[in-house]
Amino acid sequence: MATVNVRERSEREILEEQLIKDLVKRTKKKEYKYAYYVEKDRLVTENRPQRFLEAFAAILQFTNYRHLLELYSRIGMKCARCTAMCQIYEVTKDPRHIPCYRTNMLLDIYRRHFTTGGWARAKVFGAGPLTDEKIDELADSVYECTACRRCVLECPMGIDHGLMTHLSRYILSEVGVVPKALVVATRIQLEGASRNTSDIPVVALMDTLEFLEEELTEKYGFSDIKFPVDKEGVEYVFFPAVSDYLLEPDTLMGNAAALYAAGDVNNWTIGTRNYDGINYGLFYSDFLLGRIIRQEVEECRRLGRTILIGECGHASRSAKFFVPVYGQPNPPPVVNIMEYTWRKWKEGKIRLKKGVIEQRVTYHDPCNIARSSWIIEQPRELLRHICKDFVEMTPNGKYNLCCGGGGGTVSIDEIRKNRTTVVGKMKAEQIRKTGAELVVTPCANCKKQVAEVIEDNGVKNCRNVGLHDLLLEAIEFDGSACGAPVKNKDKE
Amino acid sequence: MEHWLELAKGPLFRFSFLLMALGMLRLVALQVVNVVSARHGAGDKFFPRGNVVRLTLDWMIPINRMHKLRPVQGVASFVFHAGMILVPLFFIEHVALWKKGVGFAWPGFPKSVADPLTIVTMVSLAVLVFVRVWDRNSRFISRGFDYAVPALLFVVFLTGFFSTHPAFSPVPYNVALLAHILGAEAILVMIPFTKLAHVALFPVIRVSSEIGWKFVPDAGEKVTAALGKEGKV
Repeated sequence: MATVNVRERSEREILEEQLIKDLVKRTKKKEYKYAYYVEKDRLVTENRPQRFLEAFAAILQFTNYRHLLELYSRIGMKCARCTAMCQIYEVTKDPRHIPCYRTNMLLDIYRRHFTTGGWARAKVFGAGPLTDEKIDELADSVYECTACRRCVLECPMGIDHGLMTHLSRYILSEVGVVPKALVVATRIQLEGASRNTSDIPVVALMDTLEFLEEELTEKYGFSDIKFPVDKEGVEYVFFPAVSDYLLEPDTLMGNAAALYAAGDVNNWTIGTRNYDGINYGLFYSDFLLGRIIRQEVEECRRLGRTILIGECGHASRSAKFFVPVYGQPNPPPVVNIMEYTWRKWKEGKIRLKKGVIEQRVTYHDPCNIARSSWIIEQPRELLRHICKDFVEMTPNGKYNLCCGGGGGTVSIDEIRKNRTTVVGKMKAEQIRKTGAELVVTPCANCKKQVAEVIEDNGVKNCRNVGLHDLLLEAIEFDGSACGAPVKNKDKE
Repeated sequence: MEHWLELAKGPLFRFSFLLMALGMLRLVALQVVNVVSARHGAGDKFFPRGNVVRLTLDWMIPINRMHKLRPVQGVASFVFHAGMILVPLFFIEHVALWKKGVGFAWPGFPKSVADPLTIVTMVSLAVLVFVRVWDRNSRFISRGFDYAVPALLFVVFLTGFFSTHPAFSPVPYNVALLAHILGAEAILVMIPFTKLAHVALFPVIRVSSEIGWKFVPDAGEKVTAALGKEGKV
């Protein structure tokens, strides 16, 4: 009997085929190409591979990435050890989510088009040039990654997959492939009248501040507390994630209370020309990253000496690590509000009532401040002091799991389902296991994401708060805790 | 055959060793120059030296790393690398060869130590390949070359073992020895040009990754200008 000899298709071939099918289906049905919306007039449609390579070449010429690509394209071992660290892979088990695979998509393009060896190999083995499909695969992949950089900790070769995701997004943004949500926010921040991502005008800001002052006076008994605005010659110029003014009044009140209790009430200010710490440039463009940082530094120089960032992971990291790059000469120092409060507490300037929070509390480490071991212990020390029942998630600290909304993906509402039920699934499990009623998430991105994760995954009897929301309940002023325990307060 | 053996032991060995040494030197020199110039152009010169050195050493001798995550792969990889460094450099017969080739020698260990080492190295190499095939992910991202290298290494170790134990060898002593020497030389030559380059580059990888985050202050503007854009968001 004759047998038909059909070559078994490799897994990769099957997946590639699937990917193209997905793309075609999506393009037909919903009239957009990626999992996220992009601005149609921005998107390069003609001759895109060529334009992509031109952008890549320009970036290689003027930036510092080349030596890394050169190195990474030589030493990748493809051991797949990174899969054990990737929370997206752990849930989907899709090989396309292997960090090393994602990095190699970019490295393959680099090898093929920017190295002699790759060029020669392509000539000999006939590897095809860059295609639209490859660009689209990369485009979908790099916004599935939250750039949390957890995989970096376990790559034996020390490949920084997070940096490769960053670079891929940068190149893609130069051919117009970038989530609309990020572009729109950045455009308002840099070119709009309000100069902030949520487009909050100064009048509204002043109203909010007035309201917060009243709240602090009435509810917590701070009689002369102020949110100083445009005060010159102060030490700290305050940049929270601007969304806090809309969504997180408790965090802001906690921030103000800490500054007040530490005796810095006349030594900090909010600048009306720029009051937003958010920097989406960090997620997709070095050019915009630099512009936003310069805007921030300019406002800091106008009014004070130190940039004080509110409870926000990426705002803290972008300022801490990129003010020294783009804020030359004499870049101002950058301090995160948690560092500030912790230091003042250690110095004895802020007094906190012990064990004032009665519920079970756990702490979520925002990747942008914990992965580099920058801020890990400080908030924990504060929490252990003010909480009766503080529990840790596992893993935590440097090895924490991402909330699932890192790398700007939290702002992309159209991918919410994937973000909360796939990328954030392990976070939900982690929170559930602790049995905590309050999850402290000292980051504007994580706050939005964790709230959605809790909701979409049905984690019961649990909500997330900022660190300073709780500190507000514990700060001692004139010998007594100024607020009532959080359980008595009707937050909703 | 004697003639071939002499050729392989003498001029070919010297040639491949030289090629490897120069190639490695070139790689490291280039990477150091690249890193230094990248840092020179960077806006932020701060470099967390202690941290990077600690990380590099931590991964260079990954004793406390290997068992936590993927223990089989971790231990096999560690044993394999240990054998890979010890046997070629310190087996007494190899030391003699090094003396002939490079002109000086160092203490070595005898066959009684080399034999078990060779065997565990081969076993760990087999385990590594097995894990690569078994694990769906590494299988997915691996390409032909990722199997060719361990295959070649295995052959070199196996023929080496046969050369010291002709009684077990299915092929004549000279053939085994010649295959062993030529295979080893092939590996030496491959070091600078393939992923084996990590032999030379490992100490600078984490330094480079760290410097990678040190951006150039005006690069964004230059890129925008080069692409003929107005710089609008």
